[in-house]
Amino acid sequence: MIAVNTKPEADTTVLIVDDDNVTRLTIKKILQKSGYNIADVDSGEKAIDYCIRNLPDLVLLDLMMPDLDGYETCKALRGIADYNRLPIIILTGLDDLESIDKAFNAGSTDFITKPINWPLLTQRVRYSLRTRELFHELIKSKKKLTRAHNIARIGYWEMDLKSNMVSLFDETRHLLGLQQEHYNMDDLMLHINDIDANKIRDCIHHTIKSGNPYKIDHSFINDDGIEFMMSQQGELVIRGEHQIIAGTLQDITEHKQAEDLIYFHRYHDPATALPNKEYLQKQLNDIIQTSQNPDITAIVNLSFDRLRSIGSTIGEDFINQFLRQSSERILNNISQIQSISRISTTTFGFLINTLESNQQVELICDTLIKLFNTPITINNHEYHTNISLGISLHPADSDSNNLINHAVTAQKICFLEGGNKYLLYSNDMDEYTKGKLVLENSMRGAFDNNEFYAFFQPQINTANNTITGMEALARWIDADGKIIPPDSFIPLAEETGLIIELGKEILRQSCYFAKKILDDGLGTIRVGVNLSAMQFNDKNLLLEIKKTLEDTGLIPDQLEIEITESIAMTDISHAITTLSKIRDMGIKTSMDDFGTGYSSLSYLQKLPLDTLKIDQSFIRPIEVDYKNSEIARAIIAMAQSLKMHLIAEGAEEAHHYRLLKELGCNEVQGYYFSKPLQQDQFIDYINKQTYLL
Amino acid sequence: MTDTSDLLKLSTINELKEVLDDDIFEIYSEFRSDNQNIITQFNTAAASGNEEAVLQLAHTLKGTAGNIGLHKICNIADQLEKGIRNNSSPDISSLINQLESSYNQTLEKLIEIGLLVE
Repeated sequence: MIAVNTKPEADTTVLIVDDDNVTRLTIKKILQKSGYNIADVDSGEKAIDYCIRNLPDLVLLDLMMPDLDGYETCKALRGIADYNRLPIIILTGLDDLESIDKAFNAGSTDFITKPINWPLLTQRVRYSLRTRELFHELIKSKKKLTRAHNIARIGYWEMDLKSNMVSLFDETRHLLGLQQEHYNMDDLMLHINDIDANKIRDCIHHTIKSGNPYKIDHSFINDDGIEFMMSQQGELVIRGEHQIIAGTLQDITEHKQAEDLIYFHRYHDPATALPNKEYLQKQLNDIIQTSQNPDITAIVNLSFDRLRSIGSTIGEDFINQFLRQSSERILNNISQIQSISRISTTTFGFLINTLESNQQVELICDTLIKLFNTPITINNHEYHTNISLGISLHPADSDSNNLINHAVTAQKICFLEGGNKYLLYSNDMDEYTKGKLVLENSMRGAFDNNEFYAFFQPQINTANNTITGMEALARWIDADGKIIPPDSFIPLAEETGLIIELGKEILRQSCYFAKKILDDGLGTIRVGVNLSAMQFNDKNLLLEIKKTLEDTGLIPDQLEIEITESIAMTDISHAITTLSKIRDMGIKTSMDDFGTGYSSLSYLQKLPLDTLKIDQSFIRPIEVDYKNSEIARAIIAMAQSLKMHLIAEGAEEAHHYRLLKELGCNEVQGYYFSKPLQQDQFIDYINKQTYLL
Repeated sequence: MTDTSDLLKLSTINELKEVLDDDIFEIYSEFRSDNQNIITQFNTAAASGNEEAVLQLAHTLKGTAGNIGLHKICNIADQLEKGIRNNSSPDISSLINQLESSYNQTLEKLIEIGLLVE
């Protein structure tokens, strides 16, 4: 229903045009009684003149007038104002059908027959005025509708099935940027890609057969080559002998873009624009729901093991950049991986699809590990980090709801076991993880109970068989007095961040002990303290070391800070800066586990190091006749070329010591001399001087 | 005395009264002043043989009279108009005479019923 607001009568002017004074007067009087404003003239000329100056709301026009008659006047008035603005009621004889017809063609709106039915006059005027308002509203609402169509970007079209000609209505032409009103369907299809065009043809075909309407979204490329997304609806209409498909077209480009954006946000990590865990889950669900063949799908969780600690110093942007580059590297090198999702701050998850055997996954995982032996370069800095890989397999793993979690569990255990490898999920891992949880809780309690101790392993100088150094090693002695090996808690401490606290504690005990030895007159023994990656990247590291030295009173050159080769190589420039600052404080620096990492000589030369510690794995295999000593010899030769102080670890036998001394190692450390000892045991060891033997 | 209903269409006049109240008097006095020379005009036109002028006068009078319920005048004017229009050779002077007497009777009647003052 259209609500019509007719103007109040006082604001409505009726112009009476009649050469008959009496009739004019009568009409005037009657309409005035109803409250209308009245203007009256006695000729057509005067009526036109009046309307040009001041358009009335309605004209009552006598047809029979001398000079300019009613028809001519009517035509002239129509030229001034349209039907929706000016109703013209003609006054004519009841029997004069011909004149009524003529007046209609001249543009009159309505007629009143003479003799005039006076009581009805006012009603006729009211009706005509309302009709004008309705007409006005209709035009307004048609305009509104057109506007609404433009806003909604909807247009109508029809296609005659006999001729295949498509008629495009105004809005539709506007929408499509087309000029003509009629097009052959095939010509229109040229604007639509082949796949969509065929789908539309199928829809139309189906609608003709079934009589059911269709709806389809498709692309449309306009003459300027711009692609739009359209939503098309159509239905079959029978118009006489013609079969017509009538329908609408709506431009849903923006809608689609918004939808795409929502989809993007739902399934992507905002920081890296990489797909997220939800995306991976969706991919996985699609595979689980649709796969019917025996193909294997592997879900792989990849963790960059030290990324979090590097990120904590350099910032989140660095992590994001690192992940983007890593993702590209994987996608560029391993064709079986189609997309990579970010699962957590420093982990990826992805699927490897349609595998025939587990070995294929293992092969890919080996490739992945090799791929990250080469560092990632960001802002001319190279960063290296180990990766840990956890794998779960569908359909072998029947718990399909937890495939991602299982891959994560496997990855975590892989990390705890040192990383740089892959592990396939198995059910017992859950137990293992539960055990880890228990361990983590008791570890937190262990701090409160001071259950962590630094043990010290002596380093014997090959030149004079004196103890010149010792390495501090963390041990956990629980409430029952049981010693828990570091392998069981160090990775967990790293994962949980407890390693920072642990490191501080070990450093404090070490400095205290070295100072005590000196103070007790037992000699000058340098203490080597290992730093974990997280500590090494900790902003407060230098302050912490300085404070500890001050608190314990240890001379800086009695402290040696050890980092592993892989920590140094993770971020070589950070390693250079930090080691330089440590050295500037007068503290010695050393590289632990030398030979196991990736460092080239050129890198080693850049690092401000005092000492290289040759990893025990090169020493242990050496047999009594010096067999299997080739690698040890080569590494020692290389270390010597760098002119650094050299300590060999892992000397378990006398012949190890002999060879190392012979090869020129400065100090030797290992079970041949002593296992790591508690403070009082170590003092005993010094006092007994058994190492002199 | 001519019968009222013969001269006037009372239903029309009553309707006018209904919608116009006291303004109705103005209408009939306007009619009288507008048409005080109407018969002379008819005679002049008829005497000069200007049938078109007679037709125009008859048409207007017919309309005016009809609108305000002057039934008899309307009828005679209608006969004049149709006669000339249909080329049926009406007796124009006789009709004008009839018109004259009816016109006078009508005015008398309007005075009688109080729509006109003398």
